[in-house]
Amino acid sequence: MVSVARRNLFQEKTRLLISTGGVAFALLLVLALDGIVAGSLAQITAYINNAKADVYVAQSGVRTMHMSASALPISKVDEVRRVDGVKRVEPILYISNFVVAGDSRSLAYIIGFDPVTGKGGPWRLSSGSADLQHREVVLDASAAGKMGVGVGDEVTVMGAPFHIRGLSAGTSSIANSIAFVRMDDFATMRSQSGTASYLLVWLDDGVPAREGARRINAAVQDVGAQTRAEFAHEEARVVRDMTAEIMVIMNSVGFLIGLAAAGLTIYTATLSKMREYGVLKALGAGNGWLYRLVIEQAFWSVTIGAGTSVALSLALSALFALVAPSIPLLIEPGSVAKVFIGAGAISVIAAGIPVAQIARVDPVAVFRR
Amino acid sequence: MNNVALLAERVSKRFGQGRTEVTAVREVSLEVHKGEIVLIMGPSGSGKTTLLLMLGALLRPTSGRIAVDGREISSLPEGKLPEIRINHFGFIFQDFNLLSALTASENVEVSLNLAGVKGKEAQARAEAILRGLDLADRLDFRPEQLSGGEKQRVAIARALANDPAVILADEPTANLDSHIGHEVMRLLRQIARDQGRSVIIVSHDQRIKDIADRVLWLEDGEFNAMAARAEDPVCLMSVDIETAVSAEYGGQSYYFCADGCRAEFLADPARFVHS
Repeated sequence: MVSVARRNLFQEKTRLLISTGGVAFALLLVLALDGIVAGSLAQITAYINNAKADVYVAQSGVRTMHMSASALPISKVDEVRRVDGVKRVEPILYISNFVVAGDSRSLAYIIGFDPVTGKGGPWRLSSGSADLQHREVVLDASAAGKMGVGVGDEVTVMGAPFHIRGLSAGTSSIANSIAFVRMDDFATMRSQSGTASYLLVWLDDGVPAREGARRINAAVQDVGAQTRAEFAHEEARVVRDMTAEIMVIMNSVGFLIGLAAAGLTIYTATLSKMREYGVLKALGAGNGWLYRLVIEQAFWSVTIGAGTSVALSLALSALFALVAPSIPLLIEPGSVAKVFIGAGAISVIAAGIPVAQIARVDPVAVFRR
Repeated sequence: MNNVALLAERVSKRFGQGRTEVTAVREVSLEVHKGEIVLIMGPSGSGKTTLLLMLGALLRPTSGRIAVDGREISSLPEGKLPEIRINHFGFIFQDFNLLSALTASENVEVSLNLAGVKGKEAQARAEAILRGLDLADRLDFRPEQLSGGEKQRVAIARALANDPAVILADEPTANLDSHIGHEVMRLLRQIARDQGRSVIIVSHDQRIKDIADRVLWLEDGEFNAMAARAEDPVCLMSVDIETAVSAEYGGQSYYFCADGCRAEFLADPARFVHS
């Protein structure tokens, strides 16, 4: 069957470019914003996911690390260790603070961990070592780069001088980075001897994480145990809740711009072909046939735009990874699906007005000169 | 009765109401037989196109009855008319009205698609019709790449695509030069004679009288008798006896399209009069 819609669409290359370009850039806005939020969420939960504990234990009622403070007596380590199915427990200390180098200040989550076991410490180093001696720190490589410091240089952490022992990778986000120090240094400086912020728990083989968390919650008083997935989900939710409204607004703006671009071009394309639609009606095309033609035209226009936006967003994601690694652009299948579903809705809505126009086309007009 | 392709009985069309009412076609009756070419002529505003639109199921008559292939169409609901048009009528327009984004072949194919013929079958049939009209080397040309005559042949191919009983042509030669206009007329005659289709032409073009089996004169929405006609013995054009210049020779009257032909005739009548 001859696709009159596609032929019409590709006949006017400039109009096609404006239409698909407008849709592509509008949807790119949606994808990029989704990508930045998804990337930020991935970064924010990076520590939880990469520490790879099966269960995370916090002070009772504390469900996250971000915007939270948790303090547990160190005795809880042994209590948790005695729970059936627990293989290993590692305490960490945690605070949100600044790393200062000269005039530069960088917001960081400071993690105090035991460098002997390495558990809860940096998971990937780009240079140096994580075998920390006293008053040594592992900084995020990109944060260190921005402050102009490297391995061996001195920085101020929690108000005290530290030497940079190593630089870690994958530990920065759009808002902050992670700095790792020895737990005993952390405890001394913050006067937190005998406490831990969180306990990282590894379970015996075959014990499901959810069951391990349940057992800890049942056996140990005044703590809250969550599986890694639950803890990461809660952590992401804090950010998601904070950005939800702006995301809805920006997504709506993106879709409205896309709708305007598609609608306007489909409308003008239909207007310019009105006589030909009249000819088709005169030949015997019913309104339904012509409606499908316009909707198909809108569909192709928007689908090409949506495809282009996905390709552009992937290219942008690769570009950001190279030039701005602290601003991650994570294009997730869910975002792509959302864009294509939105594109489908745009094409149907954009075709609405032209369809109404076509319904009014009088085939008799073709015979008037 | 079986030989009648199109029948119109006391068909009228009025536009407007009350003081603004205008009668475009008044009580017109017409019977067009299979293989017959009917030419409808008349001054501008006489109702020719309105009549053509009603005959082609594009406009519903205010009163009267129209039937194609024995099926009454004037009382059908609006929604049924597209199906009648695509299956029973082929339309040829003055401006060709080809779809500009489609090739010659696709323009014909689209008409087949509208009738439910799709895919390779539609493509093959479209190409076969175009080849039959000597357009084999123009199948993939867009309208803008075709000459006026080629465009009209593509339009004729499109009109023939669904094997209609009746071809309705609105000023089919108006935008064509004399040579191409004759070519189109020859094609229309061939379609009527060889394929047995009825052809109804609305035109101001006097040349079309040469191929018409019947010429009807529509004036003020009514058919009037045509003036008697004769053939100019010099240029062989059909001329109106009442208005043509004439000469007597051998006791017989001869009629001419212009003084030039008359003078040429009188200089040597034997050249033009054959016993």
